[in-house]
Amino acid sequence: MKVVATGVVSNSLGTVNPVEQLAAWAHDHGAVMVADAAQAAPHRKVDVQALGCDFLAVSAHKMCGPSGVGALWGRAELLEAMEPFLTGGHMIRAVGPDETSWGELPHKFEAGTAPMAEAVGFGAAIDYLNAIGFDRIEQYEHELAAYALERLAELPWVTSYGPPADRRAGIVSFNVDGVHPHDVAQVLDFEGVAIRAGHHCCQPLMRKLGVAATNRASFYVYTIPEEIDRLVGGLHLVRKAFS
Amino acid sequence: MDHYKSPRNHGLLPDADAAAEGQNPLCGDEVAVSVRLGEGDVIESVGFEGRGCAISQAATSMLTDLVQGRTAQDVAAMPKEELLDELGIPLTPVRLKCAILGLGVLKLALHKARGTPLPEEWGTSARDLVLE
Repeated sequence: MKVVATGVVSNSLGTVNPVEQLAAWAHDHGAVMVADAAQAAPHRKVDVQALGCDFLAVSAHKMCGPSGVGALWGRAELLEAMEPFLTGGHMIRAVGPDETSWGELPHKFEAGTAPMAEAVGFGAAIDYLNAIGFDRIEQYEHELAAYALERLAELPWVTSYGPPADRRAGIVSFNVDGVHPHDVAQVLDFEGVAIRAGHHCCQPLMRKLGVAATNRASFYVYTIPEEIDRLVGGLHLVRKAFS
Repeated sequence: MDHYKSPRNHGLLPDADAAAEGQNPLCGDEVAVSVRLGEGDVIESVGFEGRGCAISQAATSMLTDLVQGRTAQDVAAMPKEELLDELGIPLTPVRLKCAILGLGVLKLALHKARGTPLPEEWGTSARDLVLE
């Protein structure tokens, strides 16, 4: 079976990928479409029907929930046709000396003792995000990303990567001319601004951009515009220290 | 910062007796080291080139000062703590790799040229980290 897999939102540039188009293209070629929504689900409404994908994965810890738990959604007919990948408690219907039948979905794929506390915590996190509302979260992040791009554009010695704010989730990747991202992050850390620096597990993308690594500022519901001002202030200090 | 902005012994030596290069794939730091050896395998001069974060480049610059006049054997056995003490700043595990990249490349260069032993703790996997 052929599989086309993509992130719904890029973890390094924030690009919102056109999964609907990719899914149609994959299906035209007889492939199954797998969407990794770990970077999308915290930030925008994720609708598996609208995306047209066959499988979709999310992580709880990126949605204000506990670590070690997530969700994998799959089309029922595909899951029915699949064999279990893990055996253990709860996943069988009947076991005989020569024959075994598997349990109903989703138990067939949930062998062994589930991480119960984590699953309940995940549910609480989803309730929390739903109470805020994903449309509001998306809109707010969009405003933050647009503001950050606007502030970074004031600095001629900073290069930003990725699409315009309306086609990205709430992250901004950038580089300061002549300063390695790890050094940028260290100086910002001294200023109480925490960003991610590195290749973001995307070495092929870094090569395409022609950089060793990038800095990435991430925004969420708890970020305020003043923190973006502090980021920019910190970048002036980076520039001063390294020029 | 001084060593980063004005690195000592910068530039590779034209007629080196030992040379190696390596990178830290996690950060993209790159360091190339060349060494000229004198009588009794004493390091007469060291030159390096590289690009990467301030820690990797400054630590390599400091290292080139530290090892001149010492024998290849002595440097092959040099503990990383000696360089870290010289650096004198606290480092997270990730940045520790930046700090000791130059030392690893230098030890590799001496190993290739004079057969000096590589650090035991490198095992076989860490040797891949320092690419030739």
